Amino acid sequence: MHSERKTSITSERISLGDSSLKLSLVSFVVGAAGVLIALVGFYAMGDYDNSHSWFKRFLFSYHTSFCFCLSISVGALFVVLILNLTRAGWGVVVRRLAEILASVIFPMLILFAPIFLITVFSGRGEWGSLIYIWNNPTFLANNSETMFDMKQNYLHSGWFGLRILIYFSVWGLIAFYFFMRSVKQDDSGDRQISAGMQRMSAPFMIFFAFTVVFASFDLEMSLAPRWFSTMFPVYFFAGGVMGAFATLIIFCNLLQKNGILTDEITDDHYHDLAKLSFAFVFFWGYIAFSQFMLIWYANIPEETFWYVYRADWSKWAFLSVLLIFGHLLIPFVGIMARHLRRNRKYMFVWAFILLAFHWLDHYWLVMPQFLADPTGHLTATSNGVPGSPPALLCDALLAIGMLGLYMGMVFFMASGKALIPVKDPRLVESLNFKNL
Amino acid sequence: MAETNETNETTGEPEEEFLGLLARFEDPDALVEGCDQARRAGYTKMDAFSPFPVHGIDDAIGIQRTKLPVLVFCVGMTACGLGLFLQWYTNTFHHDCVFPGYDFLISGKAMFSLPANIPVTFEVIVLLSAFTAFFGMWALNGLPKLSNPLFRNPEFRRSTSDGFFLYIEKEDGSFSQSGTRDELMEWGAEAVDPISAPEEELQVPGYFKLVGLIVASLLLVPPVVIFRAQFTKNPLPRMHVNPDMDRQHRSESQDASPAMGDGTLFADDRAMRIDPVGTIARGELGLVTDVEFHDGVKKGTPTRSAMAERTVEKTVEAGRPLLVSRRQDDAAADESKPAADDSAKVDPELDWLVDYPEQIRKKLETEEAGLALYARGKRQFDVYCSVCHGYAGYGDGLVSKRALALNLQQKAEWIAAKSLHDPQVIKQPVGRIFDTISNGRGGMGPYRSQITAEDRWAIIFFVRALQATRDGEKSDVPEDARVVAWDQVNPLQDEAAAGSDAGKEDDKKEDDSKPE
Repeated sequence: MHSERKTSITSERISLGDSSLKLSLVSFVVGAAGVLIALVGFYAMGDYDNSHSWFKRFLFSYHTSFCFCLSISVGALFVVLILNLTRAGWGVVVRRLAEILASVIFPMLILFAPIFLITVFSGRGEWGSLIYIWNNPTFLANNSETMFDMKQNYLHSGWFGLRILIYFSVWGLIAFYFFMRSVKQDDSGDRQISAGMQRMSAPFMIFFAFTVVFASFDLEMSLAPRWFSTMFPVYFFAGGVMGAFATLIIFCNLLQKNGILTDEITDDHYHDLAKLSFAFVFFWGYIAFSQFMLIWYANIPEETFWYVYRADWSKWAFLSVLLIFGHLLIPFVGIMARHLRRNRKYMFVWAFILLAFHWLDHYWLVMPQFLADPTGHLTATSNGVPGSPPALLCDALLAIGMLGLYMGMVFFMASGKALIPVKDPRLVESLNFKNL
Repeated sequence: MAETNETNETTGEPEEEFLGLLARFEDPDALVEGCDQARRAGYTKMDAFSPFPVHGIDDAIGIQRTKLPVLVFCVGMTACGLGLFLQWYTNTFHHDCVFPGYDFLISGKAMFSLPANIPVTFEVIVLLSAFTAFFGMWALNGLPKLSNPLFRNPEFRRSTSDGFFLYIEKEDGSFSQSGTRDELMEWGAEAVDPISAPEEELQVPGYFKLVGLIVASLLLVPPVVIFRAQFTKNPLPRMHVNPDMDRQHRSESQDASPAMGDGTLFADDRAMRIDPVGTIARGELGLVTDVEFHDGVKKGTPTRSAMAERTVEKTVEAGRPLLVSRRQDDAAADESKPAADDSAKVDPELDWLVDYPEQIRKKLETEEAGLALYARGKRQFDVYCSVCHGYAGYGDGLVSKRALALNLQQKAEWIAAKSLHDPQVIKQPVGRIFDTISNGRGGMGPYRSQITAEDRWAIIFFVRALQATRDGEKSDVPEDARVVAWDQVNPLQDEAAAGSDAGKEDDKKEDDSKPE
């Protein structure tokens, strides 16, 4: 073992090569097809009821899948930042994959465009409030005396749009910085680049933290504008990072199955990715429970309604309980043992399960707000999960479509780049990394 | 180090027991290499020592994965159950047994409520798992160990700075003293030393035992002091460990209003504030809505407290002070008696309940519950009423007797307790009796705060039974319950009545104008 110490990359293929753009194109086509079929599907099913049009239903589903993909990239950006911040040796072989995942954040603004344009440019009214009810005059009129009054100036479409641009710019800047510098090092092998990335990771981490907090407020929490929880950003973040690690496990498996990076990513790297997935599975559960328990215990109607609605057995309780088991308890036990974490095929399966539940988590955050009536209350018209089996099928199709578009961007970003930082000063350490 | 051993031999000291060979290696890689060779050569009873963790050493030395995680997992699961059981038991298990729990309502949550229990359960899991990991590691490593034969090798202390060692025990199946030494040298060891056990086990020094004994004896002092304190009295005020907590800048109950400027903070000179009129404490809404059960008046009619409130309102409207000191009050009363005072002092006759309220009537539907109510009433009567009214209700309780005796010596002004067999009492509706018990009347004090409303009704039920024993009709006794012919009983009853009348005269001083 020690005698066969690796000193350089030995795999035959370390990049996607020519297939990258081909894969990107296929993904875009599949993605566009998925989204369009879902759009047609929702149209064919017709309006949910008088105040909830089919298009609104489509947008909510779209928003769910968009937030799901975005959170994975945000999580990947965190992985890049933390690997640099801690000068981690072990993670060098998987860092490029995280860099590529993170680099698509800024282009993802295109995917957010439909919601962005509708919310920011159609003004207060029926169209402007298709997704964000705080943009609805009826809602404003009904909540002028409540605590929402204080949030009015914050949840204003213009300011909202500006903030979204800021978030994506900051994320894009950070992600591109690391991606570009790292790729540049592939040619020059300049050790100063690593030093620079480590230096910048600290201030970037602070910007990252601030933008993630407010982005999660704006993107998902403000769907229920009267509700508030300062723990929500951590919840969003924990799920996203878990999703990023699960995605990395899937990427590594798929790449190695296709003969790429076969020698570099070892059981020990899978072990660490699995450990961190496990950590964030539990962190997610810890935060989810903390958020719930504080609200439950304080028992203030302004906060509890959000959970009361999701704990109603005629509505969302099934999904809530499913998340407790599928997003926390079962994976907690399932990937606890060391020898299972070191089994890459086993973790490959688990990564898909984790991602599926991560999508359901966003579904659980976003979709219940679909049925909020114009006054912002959740009880009036709603009865059950908004959708028949065909609607749920369309949700799934849309998720696949969104993933297709997302992966199209990822493949596009990966084209022509090595999938491992070939001249990183810590590469040898990473290649020979062993878990104690 | 071989030299050292030889010196020992030459100085004539008895030969020490040989335990194994300690090989020193140049660097971590050499150590891993050496361990690897040793494992391949079939050695199992060996251990490696290095100043820092060495990658790959576990595999090289063929060490088994520790069982600790399994242990921690099992204890963690047990702790989960234990934590939940602890909370369930302490907060919900309040049966009549030796160590009952105590249902303690917190924030209006259910007594056993999973969300609230999870943090404690989590903490218990973490605590016991950490203990298991920590002490389990000790146990599996055979710790604590005061000494190790390896420490006797002076070279060995380099294992904490720059020494890399491999130790092979003599007990190993493949071991042979010279063969193993050669093998170790061949595998790259820089030096190989024999390790031997000390001739005799080192003993703990005697003074250690002495100090231990003294400390153990001193440790007995606190429990003895605590034990003794249970049976002794101490006139000194208790110690103030943290005086801040005891002497706070605030008013205690019944304090006078704090001074402020020339006057006091509150106009009525009291630090305690009165609830605003109409305040209802949480959980006591029934006191207001269920007037039949709590006030003994018919539904929709004014209660005593409503009358009192009206008096307060009238007083306020008239601009008179609500609270006046007794002396001022007396003086004012001497000067002129306002009409409002009369109405406040005379007990109002309200629309009293004639039959028991619904809750009690429901109990009387079954014989079992009726008897239980009777038993409860008798018990409460014996506790609270009998001291003055007597066990049979003749107004001849011990307290009353003694007080009347003191009256004769001009030492007391006692108003005799009413006989409950007085025709006046017998014809009173139950609501009136309930009001008397609740709010007091004449010389009798109020028992509203001591006796629950239900128990007050139970007492009335018992008093009615008491009255029936003397004043009942033949028809009151059910046919099948009559054990003796009525005619035979009657003379006896008359005698008893006569006897008790005589007793009453002994008690003396039945004040007719101010009874009860």
